[in-house]
Amino acid sequence: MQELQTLFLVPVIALGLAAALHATAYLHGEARRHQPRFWLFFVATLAAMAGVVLAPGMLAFLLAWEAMGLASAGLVAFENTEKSVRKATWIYLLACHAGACALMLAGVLLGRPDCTLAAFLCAVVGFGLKIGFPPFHVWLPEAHPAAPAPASAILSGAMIPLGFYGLLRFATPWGQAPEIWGQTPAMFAISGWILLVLGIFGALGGILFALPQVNLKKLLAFSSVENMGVVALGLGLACLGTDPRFDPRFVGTGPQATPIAALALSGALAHVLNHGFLKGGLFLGAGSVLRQTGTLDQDRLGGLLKRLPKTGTLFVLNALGLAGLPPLNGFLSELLIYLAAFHAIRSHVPALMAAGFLVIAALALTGGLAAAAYTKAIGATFLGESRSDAAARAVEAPSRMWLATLGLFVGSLAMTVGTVVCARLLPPALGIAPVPDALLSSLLAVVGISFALVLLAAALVAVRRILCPRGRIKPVCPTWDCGYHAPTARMAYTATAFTQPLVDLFAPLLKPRHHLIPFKGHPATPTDAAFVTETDDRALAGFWRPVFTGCARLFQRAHLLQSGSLHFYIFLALLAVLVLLAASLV
Amino acid sequence: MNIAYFLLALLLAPFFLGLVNQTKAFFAGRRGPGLFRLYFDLAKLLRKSCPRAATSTWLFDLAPSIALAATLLAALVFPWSLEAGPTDAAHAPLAALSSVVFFYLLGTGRFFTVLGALDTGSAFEGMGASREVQFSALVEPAIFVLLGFLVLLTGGDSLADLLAGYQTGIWAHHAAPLLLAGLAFFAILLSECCRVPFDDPETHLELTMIHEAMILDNAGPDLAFIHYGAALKFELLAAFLVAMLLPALPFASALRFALLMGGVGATAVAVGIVESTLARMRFLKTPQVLLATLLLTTLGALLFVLF
Repeated sequence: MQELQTLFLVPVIALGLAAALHATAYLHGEARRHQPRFWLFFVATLAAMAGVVLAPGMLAFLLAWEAMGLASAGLVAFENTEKSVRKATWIYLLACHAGACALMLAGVLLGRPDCTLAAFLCAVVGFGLKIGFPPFHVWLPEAHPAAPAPASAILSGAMIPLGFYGLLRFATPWGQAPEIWGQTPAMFAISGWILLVLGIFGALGGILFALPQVNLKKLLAFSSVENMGVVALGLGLACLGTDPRFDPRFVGTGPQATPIAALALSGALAHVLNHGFLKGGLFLGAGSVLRQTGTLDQDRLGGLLKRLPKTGTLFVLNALGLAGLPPLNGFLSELLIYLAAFHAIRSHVPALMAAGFLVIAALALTGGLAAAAYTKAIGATFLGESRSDAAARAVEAPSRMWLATLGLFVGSLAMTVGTVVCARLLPPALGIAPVPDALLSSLLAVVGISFALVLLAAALVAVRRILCPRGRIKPVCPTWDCGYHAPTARMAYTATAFTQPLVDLFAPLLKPRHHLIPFKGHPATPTDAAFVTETDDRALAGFWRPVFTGCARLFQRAHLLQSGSLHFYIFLALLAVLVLLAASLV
Repeated sequence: MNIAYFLLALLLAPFFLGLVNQTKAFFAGRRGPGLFRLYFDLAKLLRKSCPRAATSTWLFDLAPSIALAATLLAALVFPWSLEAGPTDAAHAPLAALSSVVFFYLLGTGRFFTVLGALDTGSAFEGMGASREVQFSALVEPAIFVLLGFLVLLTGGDSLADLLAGYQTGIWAHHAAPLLLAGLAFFAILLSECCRVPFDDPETHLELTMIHEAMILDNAGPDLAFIHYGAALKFELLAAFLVAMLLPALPFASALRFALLMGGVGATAVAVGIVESTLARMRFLKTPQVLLATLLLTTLGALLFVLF
């Protein structure tokens, strides 16, 4: 349990420090009298998060959990003069409290052998509201863009994964009361498949909705849904891999044990850390972009790598890591989950084989789409020509901002080795068969390959430098645009254009909305035309709004009781007493 | 020993693209540019200077080098000698993870190629990059389900086990799934290497390009890196296809390597024939074909499990 606590405290502390450093510069533009409010809620959030991790029992945990929700709602509401921020805060508060309700119910049910499934479902709903399992993810794409960037970094990198901490601690066979799980072996399969399905929906749904977003922070928020889905995939596979009804090789701790659960679990947990560092860096980078340009609309940015070279370079590197590509750390944790899936396929147990194939297909498609989403985010925000004056006039962010991001990136680099350490330490700490030493050295070899990639790239860059010396690399020509003489920034591909083919392909799922303002007037002298496309979160409009309006309609019926007449109320009270008396007699 | 084959494979890479072009020339009744054209082109490009668009940044300068480095490392990971069997973790620690690492390294290469294209701010390069990420995202699940199928088939870990770890008898019992997987991977190869019917390397119109559109602004050594990387990627994926279809061979490793290269040559000829006989597909149809590769690999795995 201590190892688990350490693991979840690392992002809290690291992101807390980096976000604080970033915030000192980020808040510079705010009125002085507002700043203490930020710091109050910031420190309270961090303290509550540490409390959640270190809470000794369920009651203390729930108290800290509520405190964390309330304090962070204060952070989300920081710029409360804007209507969208107030709306986001309400949604966030609602999600926090709904989650806490489910968790209290789970707390009552936990530890009762006859209610394992009910307790697990309550915990999944309660923690899922924090983690952002679909359809509970609605608050993420609202609250993350609304909160100040340092706060979003903490929310996304450190707070969301705490839901997994709670899930692991209270509702899985590796946390408290494993003997209860031993009594109901069917729970391994049930919980595994629930997490697996949530993971598939989260990973694919998250990245699909991230693709069309033009607001940079909204894109990052949906990508958090995706990454939490990846973690859930790993956890689900681990649950299935520890099912005692299967071949004992899967659950034993001996040298013969198949390390499905160990690989999947350590991959999932290492992904929590990797995602925390990388996403924290990306949110801080987005905050710098917002401060220097005044907008997060990617269709109005562009060309920032020239104007914010340090911020931009760090953003590119963090995005590469989060797209799950070598040589950075995001790749290693996904690799562990892939490997667990391969072991599951090889086990020749039908359920495990099916799960393995599902995990592999989902991870691969997620990876491909994530590469698309992040090349879009980089390309539209930092590359090409600036598409607005604000972007064209931007200058490098204050050093404290990019230093904070750099600090997190150094943490990411350390996590390449850290992932291997996770794979070594976590499975024994949680009481499952360890990852074999041979596989650990394989993982270290992958870290070696990552270094080799960097070195080889550096060598090729050096060769290129010799072949065309710096003096001969001159920006002499405009970009080739089919022979057109005066290309403008408006001709470049925008963020929307870049993802349009994929968005169109998945249009039945995404349901993008198009607004077309057509040409007016004579064809020879047309007025301005415009075309806007938006992709809203469908869970909010398609699921929760009907649910809540349905509830409101239901409660309207109860309005009959609220007549305003005191006599009627006294009558009701009397009636209630009589009914209770009668009930006690029977 | 593998390192010698690796170097030999690096040397041979541009030859196979020449073979494709020569096949196409044969079908078109032309004399063709010759089998070794790409070698001369590369030598010429390496001597030229690198002008660069005023819009672009360091990312554009470095992207071709990083992409080539990733492809070279993928080639280093590839088991050229096709030596299956229990690998000694002390000597080849990477082996157990080589299959995933192999395809992810190619992914890193693509990531930087796309960023380099976007860095120019050109409408055409943006268009090419957009299509590239779309197609590769759709191909990815098919590739990894195929890897899962190979894990199922061979029970192995490393790329060498997956590619050469099954006995000849497998073909007698499971020819159908193997053929389906081979067909799917051939389509994947055509898409990943930007060949007809997914992309046309010889088109002269920017609007219809994918890979070529992404490198419109590259010149000199950068362009040489890109062309060589493309040739190497073609050789790698073709070698993957051939090795996947060949069972474990009881020959000396040199003969196995020669067979592998022969197979790559045959694949190149097949690609040339496909390019000569097929028209390019409409862009809107392409995703459907790519998703069909996923169906084919899944079907192959299901057939193997059920029968």
